[in-house]
Amino acid sequence: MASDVASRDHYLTLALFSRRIIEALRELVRNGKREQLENALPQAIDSLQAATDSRQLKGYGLRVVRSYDQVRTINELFPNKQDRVTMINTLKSLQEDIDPTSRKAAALRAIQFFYAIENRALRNYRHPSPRAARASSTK
Amino acid sequence: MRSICGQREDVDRTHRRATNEFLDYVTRLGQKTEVYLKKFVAQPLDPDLAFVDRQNLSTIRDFWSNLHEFVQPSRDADTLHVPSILIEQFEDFLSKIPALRGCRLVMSHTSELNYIQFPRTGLHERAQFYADIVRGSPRFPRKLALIAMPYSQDASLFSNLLICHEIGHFAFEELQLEKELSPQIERSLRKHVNAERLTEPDLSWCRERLWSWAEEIYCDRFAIGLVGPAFSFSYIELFDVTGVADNEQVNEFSDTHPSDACRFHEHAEQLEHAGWSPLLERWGKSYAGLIQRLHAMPERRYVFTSEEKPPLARRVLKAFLEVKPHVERLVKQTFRGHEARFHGGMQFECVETIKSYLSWGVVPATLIRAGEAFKPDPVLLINAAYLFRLEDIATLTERIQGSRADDILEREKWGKAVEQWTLKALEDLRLPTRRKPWS
Repeated sequence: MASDVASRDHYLTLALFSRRIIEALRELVRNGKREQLENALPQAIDSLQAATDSRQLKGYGLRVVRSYDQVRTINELFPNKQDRVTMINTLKSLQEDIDPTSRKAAALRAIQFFYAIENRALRNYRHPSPRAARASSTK
Repeated sequence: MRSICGQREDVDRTHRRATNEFLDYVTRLGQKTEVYLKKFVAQPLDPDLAFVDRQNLSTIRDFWSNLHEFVQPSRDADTLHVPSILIEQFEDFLSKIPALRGCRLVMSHTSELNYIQFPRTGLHERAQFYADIVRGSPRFPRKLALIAMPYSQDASLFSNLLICHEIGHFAFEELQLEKELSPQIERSLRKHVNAERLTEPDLSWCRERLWSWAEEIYCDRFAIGLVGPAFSFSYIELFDVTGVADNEQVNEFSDTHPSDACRFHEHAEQLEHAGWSPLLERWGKSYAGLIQRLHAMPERRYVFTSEEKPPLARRVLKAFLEVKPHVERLVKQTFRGHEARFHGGMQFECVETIKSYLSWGVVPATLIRAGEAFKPDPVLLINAAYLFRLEDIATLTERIQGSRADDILEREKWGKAVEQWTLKALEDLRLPTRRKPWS
């Protein structure tokens, strides 16, 4: 397995993962439908929790912490741990029954958050970092 | 996108069923994406979120650019340009493992003289995410492994045994073994690395090393479980392990792979576990010696020096050494006693007979013993043929007029012939027959 190939794959996976959540949130904002979101939210919460504090790994978090590229991308974009914790709480609030105005505001904040991650992941996918380019082993 | 997924008239070639299934999937995915994009452009724009929606197109485009890497190489690997018999044989080997029964291999060509596993870190997963974005998309076909092989090796047998390692990556993903191994990795990591003082990216870097190395060891052991020591021989030849066995390079871990010394330590253990050692001791000579030498290399000589995180390198290596035994357990759990084994006794005779047939240029598909016809076990056939090519090819060349055993070109020519005869024998073994198995 060539690590530069694997690294690019990680970024594309992260972009698709983020877009999947964005689409679910867009569906909520646009049509008030929660079906997609109910599938996507637990993974989003697990992955953000894993990238913030990996002592309590569970669910999809197990997968995310295997990828240094993914964890590093999230931490570089949101270096302040509190921003990530706040977003985890925002996502958790979307799992609950809150008033439509607060729900829409929370969804829009989450969209912006994952848009930033998707954006960075796409950039890194197209222009692999020096780390990826340096990798030499192809066995 | 249409240029990637459009069905082409393959009048001049045929594909294996698994390849057709994959190409059909891509076509159907393209059709659904087209419908989705038509809806997308017809939808009224939300000015506040237009930039967010616009980026969706970039993600879709990049997904397709990623898929592009798979499509044409799969088409190129048509039935005339892959060792189809060997691939079918691998599928048969897989079918013996209960949890992997029904798995199929989609072969593709690569320009690298190497074997890279295409599911890599999750084509299935990406396809799943994509299907959640482009609603109504077909699911990625189940139990389908995408495996790349060098285009130049389409007629080879022995070098293509490395495919078994790549199948191991697929098995690791398909069987979701990360859930099984995760507790051991976390325990070992916390024992050797002061997690409280590290950042999450640093911890993740450590985990990535542990996971990569553990998976590589799993895949090596898995490959030996499928085809026995022939996998180790193939590895030694392709990566020229003989050339580095006597210097410190053999102990060096890279970011993604354990050192050769570490890998061959595991090879030797797996071979011992499945009873292959007596065969190697009797007929393996040079490569058996090499495997044993690397097996005996003390773990304290293993080295990992990282340019990226030098202070963590030693500790992560220590953590890995504690994870290794759990990988062995996972391999046993995968095979559940169905790994390729050598039982000695009659199997020694079988190997000797195959080698004798090859030394006379006879395809060893039917073996005669005491006037009765028998068929050899395919794994034993492959290993006997490989041993013959490595150690006894001179017995063949000496019988050919004008051929000299010390002529490198002659050895190469007749070595290729041995591969072809063995492939032919594998093909014959797949035909219905009344011959009894040689057991």
